[in-house]
Amino acid sequence: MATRPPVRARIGTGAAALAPAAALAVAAALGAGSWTWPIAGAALAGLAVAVAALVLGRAGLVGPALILLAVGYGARLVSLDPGLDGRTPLAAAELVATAELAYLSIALRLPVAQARALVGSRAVFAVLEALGAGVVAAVVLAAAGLPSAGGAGGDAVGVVAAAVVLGLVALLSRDSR
Amino acid sequence: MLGRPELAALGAPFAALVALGLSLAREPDVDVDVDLDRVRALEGDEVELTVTLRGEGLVELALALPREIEPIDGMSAFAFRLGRPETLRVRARCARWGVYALDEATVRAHDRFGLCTWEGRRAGQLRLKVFPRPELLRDPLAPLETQATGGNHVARAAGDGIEFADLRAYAPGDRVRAINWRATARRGELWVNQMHPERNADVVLFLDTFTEAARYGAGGTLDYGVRAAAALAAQYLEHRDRVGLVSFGGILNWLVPASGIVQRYRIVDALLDTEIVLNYAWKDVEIIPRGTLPPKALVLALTPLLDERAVATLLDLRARGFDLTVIEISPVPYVTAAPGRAEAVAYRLWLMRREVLRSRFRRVGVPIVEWREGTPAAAVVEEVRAWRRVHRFARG
Repeated sequence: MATRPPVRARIGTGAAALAPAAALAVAAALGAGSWTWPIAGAALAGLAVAVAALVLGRAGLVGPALILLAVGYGARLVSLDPGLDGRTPLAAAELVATAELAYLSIALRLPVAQARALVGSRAVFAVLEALGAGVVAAVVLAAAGLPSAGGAGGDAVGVVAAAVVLGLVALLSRDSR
Repeated sequence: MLGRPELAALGAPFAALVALGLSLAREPDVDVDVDLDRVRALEGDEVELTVTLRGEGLVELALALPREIEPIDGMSAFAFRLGRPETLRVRARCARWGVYALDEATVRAHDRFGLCTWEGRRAGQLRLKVFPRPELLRDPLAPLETQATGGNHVARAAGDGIEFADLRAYAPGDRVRAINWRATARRGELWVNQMHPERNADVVLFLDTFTEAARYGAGGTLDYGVRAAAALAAQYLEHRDRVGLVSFGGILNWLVPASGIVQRYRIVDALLDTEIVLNYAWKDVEIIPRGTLPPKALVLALTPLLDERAVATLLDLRARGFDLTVIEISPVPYVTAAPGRAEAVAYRLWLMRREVLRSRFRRVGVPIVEWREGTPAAAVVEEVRAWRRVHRFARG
């Protein structure tokens, strides 16, 4: 039976959204090679905006918070030596988890009655999405790490990738009609 | 450009989510049925809405309940993960009389990833009639004149009845059972009892709907007027009287006097449709259909005495010889003086003008009583009765 959304679920999902954001911000701030203060500033500003979004219940602030966190992490990457950063899949998963759980927490502020199991399943789905995001990021990172020998194999991969993108665009445009 | 493929890896999951979400999104087929446990209720009653949802996916439902229909637990929006039909029961309290559509709802369906939202609105078709809760009124005000047919009021004229009226000398044709043997023995000739017959009355409820004084979110003078009219109609109809209704305001509504349970429903239905309609056109007694105001009818006016047209019409009715009683639904509790000396003076002047208005009615022999929030109807009727006892000789 549908019931009033529990406050604990809202606070729990909010805290769960802030944990990966805080981890990402701290990692960006501490791991910067140079420009430490700007990078730390951007990452911590992202965290602060995320906190504000959750405290004020403003879904519109979640997007800017994610952008600031991503900018902080990206600036840290640029400040480091060349070479792939193995933490990137984790960072991607953290960003997606922050986004999904923050939106869920804000949605739970609304006076909408729902079953407790529904709140749980939505939180679990958000976590699964984050895991999937990590996997996708890892695949992309692994593909980027392959030796770029070129030749027919590389061309074939490029053609297949372009075909997939075109097919996806066609699929989306058909649905939007 | 920056030579950091990690940035692509960071953005790829978001792009993948958007692509996957949009490609899998399909317009949902959601069906909503709303049913009510009854179509009539009294003020303060609880009603139960049964909402059945069929479809798939995450669906949110917001019932557009009117402000006067309050959900018991305060919730009117619900979220479901649909797979099989879901049934939802919502209990609500009817806070105010009126006719309401309770099945208006907004349905919002989301895709699996929360990227696409479809929204639909269900128009209201189910109507709930909330009747005003009747005031307790055991003994309604008796009219000065009764009609020819039988009823529960003791007529002033003599005839067949139960209530003793007078004695008179026997006349050929008088029934033997009417002979008063004690008086006959004392006077040495036949004397008979005269009785007051029990007759019914015609009662016309005159509801002034030109304007009202009200508090935002709470009731106003019209609310009280409607409740009082419903209570009076119920009581008079139970006493086998014929009751009519004149809703005199921006829009004129009327019901010709009749008796019985059907008339009671007609009157309550007409009262539920009552509303204040702004109108500047002058209206007087001439626009009321003739059959609505039968001769010898008791006219009970329920008015806040805020509009000159209603006041003039009531005085005109009295001038035409109708047995008129004015029940003033006082707007004073709804009005407070604005801060400032001039405003306080204006407020006092307004109160004085109202007193002058009341004295105009009293001068022409019309009982006028003030009905304020919280005063029982029986007390108001008793005040009219007391006024009539004191002023019965002045009426002529």
